[in-house]
Formats: sequence, C-alpha cells, structure tokens
Amino acid sequence: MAASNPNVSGDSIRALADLSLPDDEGAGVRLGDLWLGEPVALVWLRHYG
Amino acid sequence: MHCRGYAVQLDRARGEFEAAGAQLVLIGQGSPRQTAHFRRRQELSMPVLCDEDRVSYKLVGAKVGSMTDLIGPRSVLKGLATSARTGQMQGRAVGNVAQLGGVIVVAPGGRVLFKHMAKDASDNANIDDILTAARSAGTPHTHHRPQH
Repeated sequence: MAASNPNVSGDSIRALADLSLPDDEGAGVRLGDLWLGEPVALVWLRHYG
Repeated sequence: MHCRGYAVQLDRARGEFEAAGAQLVLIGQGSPRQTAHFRRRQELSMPVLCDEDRVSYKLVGAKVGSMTDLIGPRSVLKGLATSARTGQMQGRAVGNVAQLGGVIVVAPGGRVLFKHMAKDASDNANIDDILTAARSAGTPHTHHRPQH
C-alpha cells in the first residue's frame, strides 16, 4: 500500500471520537461510534462545488 | 472541480468497502440541507456528515490551502482530468473554498491505519490505497455466502 503518514495523535483521535456531527437529516452521529465494530474510512471533502 | 468528482468515484467504490467489512463516510462543510441537496444531486448512496464549523477538519489536521494550492497548474490539470473521467464539472462551492480535505482509515479500537491529508486541491487519496487499508482491518461480511 502506498500509505500516507498514518500518524494521528492519540489526543486527536480521542477528540474526533467524541465529536458528534449531524447527518443530512440533522441526526447527530458520534464519530467514535463509526469505528466501534468495524473499520471506517472517513473522507473530508473540500467543499460541495 | 475535484470535490464532486471524487465523491462520485468514492460512491462507486462503496460496495467494495462494504465487501471488506468497512464503512465509507464522507464529511463536508455544508449544512444538513445543503448536504441533502448535494447527496441527491450527485446521487450518492453513502452517508455524508455535516461539519459547518470545520471542527473535525482542524482535529484531523486538514490543511487550509494557499492560492497556489488551490489554482496552481497541477491542481487545474488534475481537475480537468477528473471532470473528463467522471463527467462532473465545477459547481458553486459550499463552504470555505480554501479548506482542503483528507482521509483516515480507523480500525475498531481507534487505531489509525491510513492517513492522507491533501497538500493541494488536486491531491486526493488513491481509492485503492484507502480500500487496501480498510481491508487490512476488516472482517469481510459473510452473510451473503451460501451456508453449507
């Protein structure tokens, strides 16, 4: 795998885990819940243009 | 020019992530309403979360680009190639246009297996590399396999 740098500080991943963001219907999703039982690829988009 | 095309490319690969036992989730800068419109317009099946304040962008270390990062020759040429490949053209931007994106793959327990933060507007993580990282942690779904 042409891996990029997988280093993310423990503090950052814990802060991300605790962050809750709304989905497109306004329902809050705690990011840490996304990787409780299975791996997740989180993709941050630039913008919607 | 890259954002919509990249989202469409990722959505086309969603089944491969699911087969690897992994989720694929997008995060954007729009409001829920703007995000719902974006999903409908691009016919995206995968979930898209809304981060209007860009808190998660800052936490993960996504870069805010310079003018060169955004409209330099590399970025423009790659954007044209993406448009040709996906049929997606640049539309009206929602959010901070200088904000760049990125990808992390997180295993159960919170271990980060892969991280790619864009260096410029054309710098999207290779989808096969993301999938490889997801496969390295995932247990493929077995519920479609025939029972013997």
